[in-house]
Amino acid sequence: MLIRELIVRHVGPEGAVHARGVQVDWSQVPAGVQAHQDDNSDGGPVAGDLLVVSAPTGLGLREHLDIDLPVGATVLLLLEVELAELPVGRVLAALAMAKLQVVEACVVSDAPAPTVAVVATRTDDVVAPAPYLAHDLEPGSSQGPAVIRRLLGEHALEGLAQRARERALLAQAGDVEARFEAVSTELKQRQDVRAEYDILVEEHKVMTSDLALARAERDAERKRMGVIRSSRTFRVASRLARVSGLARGIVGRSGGGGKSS
Amino acid sequence: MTMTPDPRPPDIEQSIAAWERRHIDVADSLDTEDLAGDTMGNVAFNALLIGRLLALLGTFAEPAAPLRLLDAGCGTGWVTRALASFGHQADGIDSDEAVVTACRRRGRSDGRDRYARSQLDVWAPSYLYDAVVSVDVVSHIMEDSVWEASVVNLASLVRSGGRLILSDHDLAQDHRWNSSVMSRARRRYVDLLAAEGFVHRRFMPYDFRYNTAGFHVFDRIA
Repeated sequence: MLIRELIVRHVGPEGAVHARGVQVDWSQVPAGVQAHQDDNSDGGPVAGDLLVVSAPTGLGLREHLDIDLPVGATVLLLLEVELAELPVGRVLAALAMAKLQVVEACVVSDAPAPTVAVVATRTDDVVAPAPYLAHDLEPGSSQGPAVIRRLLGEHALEGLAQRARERALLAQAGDVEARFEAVSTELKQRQDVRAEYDILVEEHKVMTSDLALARAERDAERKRMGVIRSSRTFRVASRLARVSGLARGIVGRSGGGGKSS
Repeated sequence: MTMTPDPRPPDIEQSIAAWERRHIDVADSLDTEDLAGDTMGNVAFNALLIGRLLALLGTFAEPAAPLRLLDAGCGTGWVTRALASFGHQADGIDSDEAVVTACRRRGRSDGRDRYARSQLDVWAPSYLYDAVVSVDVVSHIMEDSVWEASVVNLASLVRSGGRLILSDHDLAQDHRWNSSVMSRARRRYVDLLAAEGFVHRRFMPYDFRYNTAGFHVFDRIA
C-alpha cells in the first residue's frame, strides 16, 4: 500500500498529519489536510491526528514513540525491514509502552527500501482492526466484544495450527533438500564417469586413427612389395638366390668348408 | 412452449455428475460460461467478473504478504488463476477430480494457486481465508440441505473482517430456473449467515447484458 493511501485511510476527518523523521511528499496528501513536518510548535498531535514516524527496528525503537499521545491520536510507524524479518516482539512491546493498539499492518509499496507499516491508535479500550478489503461498501458495525472474542479465538487456533503447518513445511523442505543433495551427488558421480568415458572415447579415437595410419602404411608396404616381387629383377634375383642356395647345399654335403655339427 | 420442472430436484451426487460431464465439454475454456451466451460474450463476461471481484476484494495486493483467497467450485480454475495473478494466494476446490488435476497441470509456477478435490460443504483447511468467493456454484446445488451446509461451511472459513462473496440472483423468493439451477432468496442467505457472524453488505449485479445474477457480499463482523 502507498504511504499516501495509509495517510488517507487513517487521518481523522478534521485531523492533521505530523511527520517525524520521515519526509512525507505533501503534494500526495489530500488538500485540506494540515501538514506538520518535524514541527511540534503547534503542541503536537491531538485526537484524530496522524503521526507518521520512521523508526529503526533495533533497541532504540521505543524512543521513537511518544508515550504521552492523546487518546484518539494514531501513529503510522514505518519500519525499514523485510516483512519476514519484522521483530514482532520488539514492535509490540514498544507499542504497548505507548498504549498504542495495532489497527492495521501492511507492506509499504512505494518506499525505496523494504518497509513495513504498522498503524496503531492511542486507546484505553480495545478497538477492532481496520477493514483491509475494499471498504467503500455500505457501512456496518464491526466493533464490539463479539469481534474481539472471534479474533482471540482465531489467534489461538491459527497460531497453534500455524506452528504445526510450519513444522510440516520445514520437514517437507528438509526432505526436498535431502533429495536434492542425493541427486546432486549422483549427478556429480555420473559426471565423473562421463568425463572418464569422454577421455576413453578420445583415446579410442586416437588409437583408431593410429591404427588406420598403420594399416595404410602396411597396405602401402604390401603394394610396394607386390610391385617389387612382380619385377623382372626380383624374379631373376630370386632365381639366382635359389640356385645359390642349391649350390651351397651341394658344396655342404660334399664336406667342403662347412661347419661340422 | 412451457416446461414443467421435474418436481424432484437432483440430489448432490446427480449435480456433481452433471458438472463432471459439463467440465469435459469446457475443459480448456473459461471458468464461468453463460450457456445462453456467445463465445466472445463469455470471454467478456469472465473479464467482467474478475473486475467485479477486484472491486469487492480491493486492489491492494502485496505479493510478499498476499491475501489468502478461496475459489469454491473453481471448475477449470480460470478465476483462481486470475486472482493469483494479482499477487494473492488462491486455493481452488472442486468436487470433480478431473478438473482439479487439469487445474494443477495448468497451475502457476510460483505456487500462488493450489487446488484440491472437495465439495463445498466439507472443505476444512487448518487456516482461514481473507475472502471466500464462489462464482455461479451454490445456485447449482439443488439439494437444499447441501446448499445450506455449503454456505455455512464456506462462511466458517472466513477470518474476522474477511468477506464471503456468493453469486446468485437477488430475489425475494426462491426460484427454480431449471433442473440444475435454483436461486435462493436473499433473506435465506442473510438469515443463514447472520447466525454465523456475517452482515450482508450489498448485492453487486453482474450488469452483463441480459444476465441478472450478481454477487451477494457478506462481511464477518463477529
